[in-house]
Amino acid sequence: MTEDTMSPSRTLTLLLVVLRGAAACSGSIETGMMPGDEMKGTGGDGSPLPGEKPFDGFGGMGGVPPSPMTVDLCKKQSAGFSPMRRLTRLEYTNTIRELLGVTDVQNPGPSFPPDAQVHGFDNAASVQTPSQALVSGYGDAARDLAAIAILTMPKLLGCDTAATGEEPCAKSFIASFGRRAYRRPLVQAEQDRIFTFYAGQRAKYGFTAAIEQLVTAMLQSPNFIYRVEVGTPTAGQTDMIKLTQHEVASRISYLVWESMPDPTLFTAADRGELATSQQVAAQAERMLGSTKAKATVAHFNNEWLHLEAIDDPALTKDTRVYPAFTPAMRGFMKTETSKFLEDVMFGASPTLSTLLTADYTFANLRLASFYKTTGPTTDAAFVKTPLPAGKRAGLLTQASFLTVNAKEDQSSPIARGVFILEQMMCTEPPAPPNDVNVIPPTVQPGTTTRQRFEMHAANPCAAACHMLFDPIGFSFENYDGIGTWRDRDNGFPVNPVGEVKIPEEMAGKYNGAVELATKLSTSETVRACVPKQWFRFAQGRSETAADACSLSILGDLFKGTGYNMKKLIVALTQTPAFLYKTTGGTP
Amino acid sequence: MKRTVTLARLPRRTVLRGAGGIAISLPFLEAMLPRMASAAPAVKRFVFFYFSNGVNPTVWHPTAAPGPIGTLPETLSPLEPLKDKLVILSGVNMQSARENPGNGHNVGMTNILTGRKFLFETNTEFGAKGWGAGITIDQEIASRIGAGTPYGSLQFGVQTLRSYGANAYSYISYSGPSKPIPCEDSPQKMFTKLFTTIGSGSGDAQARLDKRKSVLDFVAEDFRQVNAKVGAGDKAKLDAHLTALRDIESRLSFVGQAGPACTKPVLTFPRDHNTSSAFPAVGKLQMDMLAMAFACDLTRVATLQWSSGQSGTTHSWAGVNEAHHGLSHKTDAASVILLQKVQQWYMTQLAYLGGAMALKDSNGASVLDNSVVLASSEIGVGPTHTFLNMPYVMLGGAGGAIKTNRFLKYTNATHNDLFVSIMNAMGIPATSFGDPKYSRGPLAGLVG
Repeated sequence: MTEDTMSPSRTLTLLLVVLRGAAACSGSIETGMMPGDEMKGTGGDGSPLPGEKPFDGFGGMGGVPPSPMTVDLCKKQSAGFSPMRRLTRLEYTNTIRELLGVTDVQNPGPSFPPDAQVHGFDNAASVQTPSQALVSGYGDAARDLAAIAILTMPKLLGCDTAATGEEPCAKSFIASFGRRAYRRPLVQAEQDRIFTFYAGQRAKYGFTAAIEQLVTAMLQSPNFIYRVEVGTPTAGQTDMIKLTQHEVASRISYLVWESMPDPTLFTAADRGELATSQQVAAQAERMLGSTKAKATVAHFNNEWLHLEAIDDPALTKDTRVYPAFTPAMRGFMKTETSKFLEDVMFGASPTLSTLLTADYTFANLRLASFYKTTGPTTDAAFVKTPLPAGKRAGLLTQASFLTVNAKEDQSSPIARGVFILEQMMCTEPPAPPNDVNVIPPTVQPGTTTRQRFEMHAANPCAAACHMLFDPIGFSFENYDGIGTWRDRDNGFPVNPVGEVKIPEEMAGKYNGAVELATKLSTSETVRACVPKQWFRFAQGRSETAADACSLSILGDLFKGTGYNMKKLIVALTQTPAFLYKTTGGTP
Repeated sequence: MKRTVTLARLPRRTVLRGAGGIAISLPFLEAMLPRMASAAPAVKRFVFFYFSNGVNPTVWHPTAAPGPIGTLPETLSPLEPLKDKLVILSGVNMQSARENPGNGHNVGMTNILTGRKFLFETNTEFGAKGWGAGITIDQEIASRIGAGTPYGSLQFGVQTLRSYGANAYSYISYSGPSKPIPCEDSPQKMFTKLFTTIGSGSGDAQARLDKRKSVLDFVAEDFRQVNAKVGAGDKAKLDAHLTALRDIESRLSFVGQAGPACTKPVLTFPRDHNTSSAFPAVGKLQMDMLAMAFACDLTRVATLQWSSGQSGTTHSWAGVNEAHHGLSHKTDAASVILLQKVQQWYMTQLAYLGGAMALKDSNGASVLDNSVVLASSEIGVGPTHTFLNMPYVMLGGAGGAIKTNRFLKYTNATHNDLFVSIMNAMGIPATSFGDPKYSRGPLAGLVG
C-alpha cells in the first residue's frame, strides 16, 4: 500500500487506537492488534474491569477532536449484540460470482425465498430464518453450481492432476478453495477432515465426482452460508471480543461490496495488515472506488429512500387522473433518480446537502419537459439538467419520490410526511389504534387534498399523531400524485405552508418542499438520522442503547467531513460495533 | 394385472423418491399400495385456505338457526355442491388480533395462524408492524402428524409476494417467532419438487441418495463445529438450519401411504406465474398439485395462500377491474357488489379445491373426507378491519371426527380454540394453542 492511497483515509480515520503493538504483530496472521485495543474486557454493565484502562484511545479525526459527548459515551466500552449474519440473496449471488466465476444466468440466488425486511432493509439478521424452502434452495443451488463448476476443472482446481497426481492437487484445492469459500485460512484439522471426505468420495465415484461432492458440501457449510465470527478471545474478555483480521475483512467486504473479499483484501488480512483503524479505513476507501460499491450504495439508497417501489407492480396509478404515468415515464423516473443518486454519492460533493438541495437532476427530453426545464435533446440520453429554481431541489422533489409516496389518484400528505419523519428524521410516530378505518379521503370536487386530509386534525384522537406528519406532508402539495408541479389543486390555490412540530431545533413553519429540503439539510436531527440508517444497514440490526458510543463516533465523523455520505461509509468501519463481536445477551 | 406383478418386485424406495423430487413412475404403481388399503385407518390431513381483505358479513354468515345448513348465504353459494362436506362457523373471533394494536392487515396476517400478538417491529403510516410471534397451527399439526412423509408440509402460493414483497404482510405460516415460512409461488417449481422423476434407473437414484447422505454427514459435522464456537442466539439459528437440512434429506427416502388415485399430474404452466392474468391459472395448478400431493401422501399438511394481506390483486377475470384492497374499503352499493364478486370467486376456488380432493385416499375414502380444509381471511370486514366473527368455513370431516353439513354458532369463541378443536380432530390431544391467554379448550360440539 502506497503512501498516496493511505493518505485520504488518514484525514478521515478516527484514531481509535494507540498504535501500541501494531508493529509487533505485523506480518503475523490472526494476531494483529485491532483498533480499539485499549478497550479491554468489561464488567457486565460495560464499565471497565478493575485495573483496566477505560476507552481513552480517541485521538480525533483530521484535526477535529472528538466531541465531549463521544469521549463520555465511549468511556464505557460497549456495542449492541452482534448476531451471526447469513448471506442475503444478493450477497450469495455476488459471492458465488466471485468464488466460482458463475454468470448471472446460472446464478441461483434470486430463486431463494426473498430476505425479510426490518426497517426497510433486507439484511437484518433478526429475521434471517433458515426456512425449509431456503435450506432446500441452498441444497439445490449447491448441487447445480458444483456440477457447473467441475466443467472447468483445471481452472477450478488450480493444479494439473496429470503433473502433480490427484492427491496433492486435491489437497491444494481444499486449502485454496476452502480459504475463499470460508473467507479465512483453514486450520490443518479442517483440511484433514475435508480431505478424508474427499478420499471417501474418490474411492466410490472417481476424482471428478469427488471434487463435485466437495464443492457441493462446502457450499452448504455454515462456514460459507453464514458469516461466522469467532473473534480472538482474550483472557478476561467476555463481552467485547476482537474480530480476527479475516473476519474484519469480511465485514468490510460485505459492507462495501455485499460480496466476499477480493485477493487484495485477503492478502491484507493474511499479512496482518488490517490491524489498525487506518488500515481498515484505507481498505474500505479503496473498495469504495470500485464499481462494485456503486451497487451497494444504490441498494442502501433504494431501501432507505423507499425507491424500490417504483419497480413494484403493486404501485399503480389511475391513468384517467394521470395519463402521463406511462410505463415509459415510470422507467424514466427510475433512471433519473438512480443516475442522480450515483452522481451525488460518487461525484465531487457527496454530501447530505447535495442530496437534498441539488439544483440539478439527470433528465431526458421527456423529463425536462415534465420539470419545465431545458437541456436534454432526446429521450435516449439522460444529461445533467438544471432544475427550475424555487420549485425543485434535490431528491425530495423528484418525480420518482413523489410518485412512490402518493396515492393512486391523488397525492398523499400522510405518506410524504411520514417518510420525512421516519426515514429522514428517524422519528417514529405512535401507532394509530388498530380499529381505525384507514381509508384515505377520496377525491371530492370542491376540496383540495389539503382540506380533505386536514379533517384528521378535526378528530382529537387522530390529531395527536397526524399533527406530527400531516403538516410536513402538506408542504409537498405543489406536487400531484406523480410529481407534476401544480399551483392549483382541484381548482383551488395550493397552500404549501408546512410545519415541523418536533424536535424543537426544527420546529416552525416554512413554505414548500424546497424550503423543507434546505431545512432538513442543516438539521441536527437529520444529520444524526443518516448515520443511524447506514448503521442499521451495515450492522444488519437495529441500534441499541449500547451503541451510543458507535453512533456518536459516526456523528462526529459525519460532521467532521462536512456531512459527506460517501466518507460516512468508511466511518462505519471505525466504530466498536463494526470492529468487535459482542456476545452479551441474545438477539 | 401383469403390470402389478412385474413392478411388485421393485424395492419401493428406489422408485418413489429422487434427489430434489419424488420419482413417481407412470402409470402409478399400484403394487406399492398397502394391500389392505380399505381396512387402513384414515390418514388425516389439514389445509388452510387463505384469501385476502375480509368479507361482507351480511352475505357471508347464515342468518338461520344453527343446525344443518339450509340455503347458503350468497357469497358461499359456490359451495352448494359440497354442502354435505361443509361446516360454517360464526362467532369465532381473532381475540389475540383484537388486542394487538397495529395495521389491521399486518396484525391479521401475523395472528391468523399463530393465535398470538405479533412481535412489534416498527410504526408506519398505517399502524404498527411486526412479525409473527410463534409457531403456526399448520406447522404444529405438521410436527405431530407429518412424520414419515417426504414433506412435513407444503406452502402453495399464488402471487404472495407480488403486492408487498418479503415483509410481514406476505406470510401466514411460521415455524417460530419471526420465522416466516415462504410460499412456493411458482407452480413449475412446485411440480419439479413434488413430481419430477430424476435419474433413469434405480441404481442412479441410489447413488444420488448415497451422495446426498455423505454431503449431509459432512455438513452436519461443520454445523456441530461452528455451533460450539458461537453464542446462544446464533446456536439456535444454526440448529434450526441443521434440523431443516436433516429433515429434507431424511425425508427423501420416505414413502407415504399413497392412495390409488396417485398419479403424476399432467400440467401446463404459464410462462410467468407472477403476471396478473396468470393468477387464476396458477391457483388452479397449485390446487391440483395440492390434492395430488395428498393423494400420493407426499405430505399431510398444506397451506394455500392467495396473494397477501391487504392484497392489491385486480380480479379482472371475475369481472372486477378494481384493485382488491382499495375496493374492500368502499362502502357504496356498487363497490359492495363488486367486492362480493371477488369473495364469491374465492369460494368458487375453494369449491374447486374440495372437488379436486375427491381423489381416493389410501383407506378408500376421499382425500377430502380425511381432511380438514379451513378457509378464512386476515380480517373480518374490509372497511373496519374487525377481528370479530371471522369468516371461517371448513370442508371435510377429518376421517369422521367432524360431522359436516352443519352451521355452528358460537359467542365470542377464539380462533385459538378453533385450532385446539382441529388438532383434536386430527387425533392430537391438545387443550391449548398459541397464547394461552386466548385459549380455553376445544370449541363445544365441533369435534365428535
